[in-house]
Amino acid sequence: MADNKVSELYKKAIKELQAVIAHPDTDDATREEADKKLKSFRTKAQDAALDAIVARTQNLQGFMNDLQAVAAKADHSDSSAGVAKLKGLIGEAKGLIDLGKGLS
Amino acid sequence: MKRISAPLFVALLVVTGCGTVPQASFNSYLQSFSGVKANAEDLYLRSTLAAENIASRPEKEGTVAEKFKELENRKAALETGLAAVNLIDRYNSVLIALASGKSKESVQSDLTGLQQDLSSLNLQRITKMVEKAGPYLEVVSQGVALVEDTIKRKKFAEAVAAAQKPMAGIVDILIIDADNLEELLVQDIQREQDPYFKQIGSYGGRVNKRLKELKSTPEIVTLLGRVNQARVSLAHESVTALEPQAGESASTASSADLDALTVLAGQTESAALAYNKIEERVKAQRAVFREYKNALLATKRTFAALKDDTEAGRYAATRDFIQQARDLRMAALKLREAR
Repeated sequence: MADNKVSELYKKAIKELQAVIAHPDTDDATREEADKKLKSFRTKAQDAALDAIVARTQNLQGFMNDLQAVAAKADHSDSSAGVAKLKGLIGEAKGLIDLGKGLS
Repeated sequence: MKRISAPLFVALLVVTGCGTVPQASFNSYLQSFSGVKANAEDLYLRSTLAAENIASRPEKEGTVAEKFKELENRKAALETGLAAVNLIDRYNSVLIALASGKSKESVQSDLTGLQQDLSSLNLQRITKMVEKAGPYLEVVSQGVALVEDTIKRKKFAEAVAAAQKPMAGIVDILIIDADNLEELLVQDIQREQDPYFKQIGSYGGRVNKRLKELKSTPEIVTLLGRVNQARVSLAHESVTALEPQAGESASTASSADLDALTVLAGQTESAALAYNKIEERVKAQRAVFREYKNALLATKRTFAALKDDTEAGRYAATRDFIQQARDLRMAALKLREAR
C-alpha cells in the first residue's frame, strides 16, 4: 500500500537521523540540527498515518451503502411497514457517514 | 445499558432459527466484545487528541487555514470510524431485538440508545436527525408486530444475514486502521524519548573526547563501564559501547578530569533511566495494538465459525475470542501502569 511505503520511508529517515544524533563524533550543533529534523519526520510519519485513515473513510461509506442496499432488498421482499422503517433507520446511519465525507 | 454486538448473534439466529443459541458462550462473547469495542473507542479518541496536537506543532507546514481544514478532515475521519462502529452496534441490537421477539420496552430501550449515540456527537446535522427521531417509535410497534409473523421473521432474518458482509468490512477497516493508529500514538510517545536520546548522544561525544585525550587507568575503565552499561541498556542499534582510544599524546587523568567523567557517567545513567522508562510505555502501547488486532482477527474467525461450522467449532472459536479479549484487557492495564 502506498501509504505504508511513505510511512516506512519516514521511519527509515528517523533511524538515520538517530544514528547521527547518537554517534560520538557528531558535534552538538549538528546533533541539534538532526534533532530538529527528527521532530519534523516524526510529525510527517504521523501525518501519513492520519492521511491513510482519512483515505479509508470512503471505504466505510461503501460498507454503509451496502447496508442500505440490504435494507432496500428487505423492503422490496416484504411490504411490511416495519421493514420499510428499518430502511429509514439505516438511512440515518448513512447520513452520519455522509456528514464525515462532507466535512472532508 | 447492556451492549449488544450482534453480527455473531444474528448469524446464530439465522443458522439455528432462533431456537438453539449456545447462550452461555454467547453471553461471554458479548461481554468480551464490549471490551474490545471500548478499546477501539479509546484508541480512536486518543488519536483525535494526537491529531489536534500535531496541528499546533511549530514544525507543521502550511497556512493556518490549511492546517485547520486538514485537522477538521482528520477529526471527521476518526469520528466517522467511531460512529460507524457504534451505529452498526446499535443497528444490530435493534435488529436482534426485533428478530428475537424481545418485548416492546426492550426494543424501545435499544432505539433510545441509538438516539443517545447520535446526540452525543453534538453536531448540528446529527442534532437535526435526532429531532426527527419520532418515527423510531413507530418502528418499535411495527417491529413487534413483525416478529409475530413467522414468515416475515424469516425474511427479516435473511435480510440480517445479508448485512453480515458490510459489517465484516467494518472489522477489516478497524484492523487496517490499527496499524496507522499505532504509528500515530507510538510516535507521540517516542517524541518524549528524543530529548533523552539527544542527551545520551551528547554525553557520549564528550566522554569520547576525553577518552582520546586521557591514558587508560583503572578509574577511567570503571567510569567507562558505567557509561557503557547505561548506553547498552537502551537496546538501540545506534547507541553502542564506547572504546578506550588514547593516542600517543594522551596525558594522565587529573582529579578534575576524573570528576568531569564522573559527572558525565551520572548524567548518562539518568538520561538512560528516563529513556528506558518511556520505552516501557512504547512496548506497552505496541502490546495493546498487537492484542487489539488479535482480538479483531478472532472476531472475524468467530463470525465465520458460528455461521458455517459445528457447535463444537463455534464453541472453540468463541473461547479463542474470549481469550484474545482477555489478553487485550491485560495489555491495556499494563499500558496504564506504565504511564
